[in-house]
Amino acid sequence: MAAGLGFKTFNTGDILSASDTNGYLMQGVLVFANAAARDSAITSPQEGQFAYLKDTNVTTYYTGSAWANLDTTGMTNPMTTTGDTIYSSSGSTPARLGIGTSGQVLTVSGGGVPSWAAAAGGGMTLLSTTTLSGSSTSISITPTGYTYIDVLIKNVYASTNDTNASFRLNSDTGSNYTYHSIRYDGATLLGTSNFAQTQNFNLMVNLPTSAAIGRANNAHITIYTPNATDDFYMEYESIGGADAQGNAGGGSNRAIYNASAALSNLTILVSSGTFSGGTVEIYGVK
Amino acid sequence: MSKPMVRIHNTDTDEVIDREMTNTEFAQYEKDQVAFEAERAKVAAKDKTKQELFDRLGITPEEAALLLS
Repeated sequence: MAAGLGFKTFNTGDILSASDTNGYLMQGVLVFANAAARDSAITSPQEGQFAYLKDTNVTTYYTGSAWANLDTTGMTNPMTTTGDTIYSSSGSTPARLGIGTSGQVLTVSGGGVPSWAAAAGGGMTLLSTTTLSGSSTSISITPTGYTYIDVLIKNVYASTNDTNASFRLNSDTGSNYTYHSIRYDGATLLGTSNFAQTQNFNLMVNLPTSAAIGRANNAHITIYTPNATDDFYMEYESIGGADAQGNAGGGSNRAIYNASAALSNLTILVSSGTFSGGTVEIYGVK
Repeated sequence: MSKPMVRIHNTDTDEVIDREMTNTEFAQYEKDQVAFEAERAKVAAKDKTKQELFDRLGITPEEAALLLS
């Protein structure tokens, strides 16, 4: 059999040569009774030729070195549910991986196949975002399942100039807040406070009245043991924008809150007037 | 006279309520104001004492920081 010549458009009046017949017309799917009949008829098969065998109802093609069966079985879709995925099980058989539950991550099980499982650790989840308002803003927190809670407080400003912001946990107004504080203004160390017992933690000083003013305050609170029912070990720091000299003020604190229940609430308070702006993002960290 | 406003964010339902303080909250607010003012006065008194010491020693806060660094 001649090699396939590709595709040709014949025009009216063209003479059909033996070469055209062999190179174009004979390149379709040729039908034979069986493989023996095919091999007998096509002694010099060309790569890409097709032959249908009636005894087995199989279409074969020549790879250039041998006849191979054309795979027409395809893949049976194993998926049944929204969110399902397909993976290759043993022998490259398609298998269904059912959708996991909320918060699970994709992992590989001992059998070398994928599965959904709870995150082993290290994941950080944004639990809530709140805009500060009023004389105080109270935010509920559910720390269950998290190793610690991270709080980012950004661009805080108030209706009254040079006010302070503080925070309270679990709406507790008892003297259960002890801390060690280092405060600085640019390169100048303003001072330290040792383990004062108060009714809240002082967080920021000298709030401005506009976010556009460089010293709009930002803070970060980490509560390491939010599910404890005795002490919460914490660190928190605040930093203001740079002043005209390029100095940034702020404070760094290590603190213990004498809790009587797991963390359930964070309240940010302003010492005078109301919050005019500021955002609180609460993250759970595993 | 109206009481100060507070914001309550229930993150389970994502419901945000802005309302006036209750009487109990307002009583605590007034206590907090006294505490804030006391703290402010304490800091101011400390700053005043510190400045008086600087004046007596004839050095600036920057020079004092240099001595302690």
